[in-house]
Amino acid sequence: MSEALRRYLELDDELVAVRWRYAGNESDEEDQLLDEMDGVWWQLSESERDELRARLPRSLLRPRAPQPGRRAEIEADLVEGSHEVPRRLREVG
Amino acid sequence: MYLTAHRVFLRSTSSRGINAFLYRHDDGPYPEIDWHNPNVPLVADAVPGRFVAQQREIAEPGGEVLSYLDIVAEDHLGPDRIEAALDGFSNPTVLLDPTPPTIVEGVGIRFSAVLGLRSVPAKYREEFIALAENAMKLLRTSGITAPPRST
Repeated sequence: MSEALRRYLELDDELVAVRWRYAGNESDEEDQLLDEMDGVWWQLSESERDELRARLPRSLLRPRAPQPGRRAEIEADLVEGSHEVPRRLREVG
Repeated sequence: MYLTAHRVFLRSTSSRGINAFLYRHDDGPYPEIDWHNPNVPLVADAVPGRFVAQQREIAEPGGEVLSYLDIVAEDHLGPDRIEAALDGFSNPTVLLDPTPPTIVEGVGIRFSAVLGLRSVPAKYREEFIALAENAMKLLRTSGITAPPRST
């Protein structure tokens, strides 16, 4: 595997995580990753590009935008000595 | 004892980091907890015990939890036993399929990560190891040790 292909697949993995984190909404992180992927794309050989076109990068599978009332797990504000749980579910709109 | 580590994302600053928290159960009998077969969701979500120490890379509360590792064990079990249990749990063949809470040598363990990590098993394992290292660092620096061996 060429260095360019390895980097492209690595960026694709990061793009999956970023799109998950933003629940399908666009973000600055996504823009930066896509810019870098565009640059790396042209460093790939023609056969590598054909291979990627054939298998469709996983990051194209964009999750849906969050639905009203969907819950997210967030970190709680803890005070030492308390008996509060460290994570709480929060409703997000 | 309840020891947990979170990978946190703070939207306001787009920063990410791992925070770890340590609780002890030395302030009550906690009859609902079977320490030989600890129920991780019960402890983590309802009776975490008394919050005693933390180690934060993201100082502000309210961040989104991208992944977490929960560890439940008797207070006196000691870091070496906890670490051995984590080593047993981190077998990649176990992590290929996310598992429900698991008991390893009396230590209850639960691990969950975002979809993006779950779809890449190698990274899923790396995430488990990163959280485990941070949790163990907090436990070891907290001064909790195993009792001397009885003869």
